[in-house]
Amino acid sequence: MKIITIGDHDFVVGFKFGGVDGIVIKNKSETLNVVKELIEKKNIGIIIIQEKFYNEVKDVVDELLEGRLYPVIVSVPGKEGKITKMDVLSKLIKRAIGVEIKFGEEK
Amino acid sequence: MIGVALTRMELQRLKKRLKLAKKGHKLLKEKRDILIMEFFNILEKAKNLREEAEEKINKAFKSLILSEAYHGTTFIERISNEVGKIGDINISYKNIMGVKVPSFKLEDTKRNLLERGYELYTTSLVIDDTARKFEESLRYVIKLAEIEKSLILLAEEIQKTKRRVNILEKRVIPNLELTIKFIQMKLDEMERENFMRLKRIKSMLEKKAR
Repeated sequence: MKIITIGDHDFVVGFKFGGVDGIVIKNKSETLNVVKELIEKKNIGIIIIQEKFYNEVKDVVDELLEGRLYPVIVSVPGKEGKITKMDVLSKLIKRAIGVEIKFGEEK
Repeated sequence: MIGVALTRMELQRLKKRLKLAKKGHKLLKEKRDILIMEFFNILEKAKNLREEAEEKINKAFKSLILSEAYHGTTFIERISNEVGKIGDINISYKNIMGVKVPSFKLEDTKRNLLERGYELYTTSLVIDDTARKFEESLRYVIKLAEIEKSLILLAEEIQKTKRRVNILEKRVIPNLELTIKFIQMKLDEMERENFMRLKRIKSMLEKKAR
């Protein structure tokens, strides 16, 4: 299983230093196409995606991945820093328990 | 309730089913509670891990910007292409209450200077630092991927279990109870009718004999 990154130029260059290959993307439609292609390839274990691109395609991608064990998609912030606050986790909790719990607000 | 046979056999069958449904309901409820507990355990871990990972990544990108400032973007890009790739990851699966969750295995992402693969003559310490930080971030990101995927899978399973518990609780069990009551009453009614019929015949026979 391979690890692959998708994000803007700096994101991909950065993770190349970590030893992982990547694909540079520029806009939303490109993101979707690349992600779909990667999902269809059977040898991808983890897709590391830049947060700002993931936010745009989250719903479609989540639907594509539902019920599948891999690839696992994980979004991390790029050099522009963190955008959303714990959004992923609160949504998960709401789905699982039926109650919304928000994190990081009491700070 | 329409179409049920009004027999003792049917009654017995339904009673058995009700017992089974109640047992299943209890078990599923227990499963749901344990899954939710497990979910919150992992959630706590995931929260901390994400914070740590994001901090590491942030530092790594700062270091990358520094390297770019020292050497220029084009040079850094060229060097990044020379960096050796890490090996493949192995996926194995763990079992949490019947939910299959992935667990990734990777040989250590940390490498020494020579293993990284870029030439050392024109590069500098700043680049080494960048590479080291990204290797470290990568380790965190892989762990994060594993733990967040586990959470998603657990949430899906909790949802499924909850739906099953609700169907049993709100539909299957009440329906069965109602049907059983209906058959029981009908059977009682039939018995009373039969009893009356016998009594009537008896009295008619007595009248005739006299």
